[in-house]
Amino acid sequence: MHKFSKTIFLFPKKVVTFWKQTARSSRIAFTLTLTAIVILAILGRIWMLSEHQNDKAIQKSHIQPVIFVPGSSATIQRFNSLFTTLNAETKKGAAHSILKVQVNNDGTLSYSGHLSTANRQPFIVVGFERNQDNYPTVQADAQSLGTVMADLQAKYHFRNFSAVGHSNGGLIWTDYLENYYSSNSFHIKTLMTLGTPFNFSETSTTKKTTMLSDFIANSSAIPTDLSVYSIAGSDDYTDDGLVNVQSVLTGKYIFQKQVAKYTQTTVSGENAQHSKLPENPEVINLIRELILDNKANEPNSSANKLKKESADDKR
Amino acid sequence: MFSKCLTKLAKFDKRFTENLLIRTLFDAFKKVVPLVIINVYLRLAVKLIFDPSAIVPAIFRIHFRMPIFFQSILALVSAFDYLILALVAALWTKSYLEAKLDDLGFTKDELLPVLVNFALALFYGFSTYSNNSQGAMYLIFVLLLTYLSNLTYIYLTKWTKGKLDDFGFAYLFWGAAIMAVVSWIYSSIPSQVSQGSYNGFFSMGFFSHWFGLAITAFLTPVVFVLGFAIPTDLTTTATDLTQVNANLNEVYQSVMATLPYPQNPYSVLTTSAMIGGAGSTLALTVCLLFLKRRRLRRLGLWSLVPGVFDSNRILAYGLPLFFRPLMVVPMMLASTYGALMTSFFIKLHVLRPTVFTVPNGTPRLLLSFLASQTPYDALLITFLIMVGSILIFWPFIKALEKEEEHA
Repeated sequence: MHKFSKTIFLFPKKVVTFWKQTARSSRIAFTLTLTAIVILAILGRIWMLSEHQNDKAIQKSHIQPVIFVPGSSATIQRFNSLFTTLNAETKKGAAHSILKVQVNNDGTLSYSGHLSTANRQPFIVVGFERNQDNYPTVQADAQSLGTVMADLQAKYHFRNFSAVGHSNGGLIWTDYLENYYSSNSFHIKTLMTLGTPFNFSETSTTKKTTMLSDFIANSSAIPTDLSVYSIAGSDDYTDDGLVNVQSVLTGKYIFQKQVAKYTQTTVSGENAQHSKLPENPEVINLIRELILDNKANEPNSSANKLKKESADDKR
Repeated sequence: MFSKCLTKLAKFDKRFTENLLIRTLFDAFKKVVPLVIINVYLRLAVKLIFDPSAIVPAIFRIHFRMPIFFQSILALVSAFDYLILALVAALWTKSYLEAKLDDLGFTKDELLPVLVNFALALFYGFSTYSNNSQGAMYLIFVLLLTYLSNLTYIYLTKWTKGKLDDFGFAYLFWGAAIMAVVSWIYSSIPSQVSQGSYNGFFSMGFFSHWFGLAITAFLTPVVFVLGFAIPTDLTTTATDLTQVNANLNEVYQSVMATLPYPQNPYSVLTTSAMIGGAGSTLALTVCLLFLKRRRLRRLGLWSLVPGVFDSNRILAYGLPLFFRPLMVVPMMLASTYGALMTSFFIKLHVLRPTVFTVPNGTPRLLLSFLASQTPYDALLITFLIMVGSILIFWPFIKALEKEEEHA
């Protein structure tokens, strides 16, 4: 017993002697690493606490917003007419609520409208004050979109969403999906691009702009279970008055081998001009069926007609 | 009794490592250590910082814009893994054939078999590399094929009494035959094996009981030491196992709900049996820091940070851990000890199991603290596991130091 208590008593002294005999480099490395682990543990715990609350809310939340991004030179009002048409068809009291977020030049966010859970698929428009037609702007806006998405999730606790991008809005979504999207936080079901010039104004598919080359190079980051619909507007199958159809079609080099489903089609007729694509009746029909009603697999849907069209195109 | 067993094991280890085949293989491992260190740190930077789901961007709520060359870096890092494997195959072939042919009394230029085996290992990379995910790498495939290729080369030389030209038609035909057989073997590797994910298997009921988990914890270091890839279902902190999903759903319904699968591969094996990598090697790294022998201490210093983030590749090549009897025993003991401790405290309802998913790259040392609903109990148990593991490793690592001193 005496021997045992002596061993216990001498143990701390032995530890100190052992520590002093250890090489200096080892002592420094051990202490620094231990400190770093403690800091990481504290920060990690704080993050987990906030995230856990958010996770729980997300799990319980059933909303699956449709998030719209307008193109260059367009404001957050770009989709007003489309929303009016779609909401006119919904039952009374179950209209899609509309929330608009503008990213200002100084990075601040301005919210307008509201988001209610009356309809499971509220509409959110994310617009950018900086909206010139060039690649650096697309990159900067994609980064801001990452910030907006995190902010929206913290406020409204959703995980699933669908995306619609008009013109350069489609480029912003693509850049976002490749660089800022994390499948741990979100699940994007469908991306629909309207007249999106994946190769900017380049008409030849053999000449790739820097942006298109980057998109193709980073395409492996795009979620593989995504359905992508790329829609071009045209009267004469060359352009929609602004964007060349060939540039829209180059989207296939980014998505076709990566995503679960990639469909491209051309709409024509009334309102097929570039700026009016969101009001085109065929486009409205496609949004209704493919995004809102999710009828992509039904035999008589426009989506199936699209499939037939793309199969015919391939032939 | 213990010291007797340890002495016997150390003697066996010494005899084993003195075998020409193993000695030359270990020499090859040690030669590639600087490359492994560069590779491990590069992978660590990519894993911790640039991955959008990684711990650093998550905790600090920052998103690094992936540079344009990011995909190239990813490809480069993966290619690096295979290059290391190819170099091991080449270096091993060179020294093994040199010594073996010398013993047999033949003087040969080993360049052709070295090149063939280098290509054989690199070709394994080409056959299994995937751009989207880091595939599972099986060192054993390459080493076994390299060994068989060397054997056939020696037999051919013996059979022809060493009279053939080093780059003559017979040897060239031998090289072509080896490459043809190897490419056929690679093409028959099932894709599930090259991906290293067995979700359905580990979702089985057997892995929801302490005995199933203890057996797995016991065997995992053996699998690792033999050069097989550890299934990703046991190593990832964002697992998709049925048990984990069921637990998570339950917790989201009611915070302190009774979990349907308190014991599962995530809550027991990932959390406690693999701290620092397969075989709980973070404890081994800590032991190395306190040794007197400079080579081992330096290895400990290099592998400390990667060890915290659960990579033991520097030790695997540097010590080495691969094919080392003296190392596999404490790894098995420490791994099983960690699993049993956690299992025991879960069973006693002292510890609520690891249930939440955490960002990629989160150290398993902190996993239960961050993802259990009883974080402070979890921290205490992790501390006990670490102390116990260090005590398990210490006598073995002292025996290793002694063995190196006498070498």
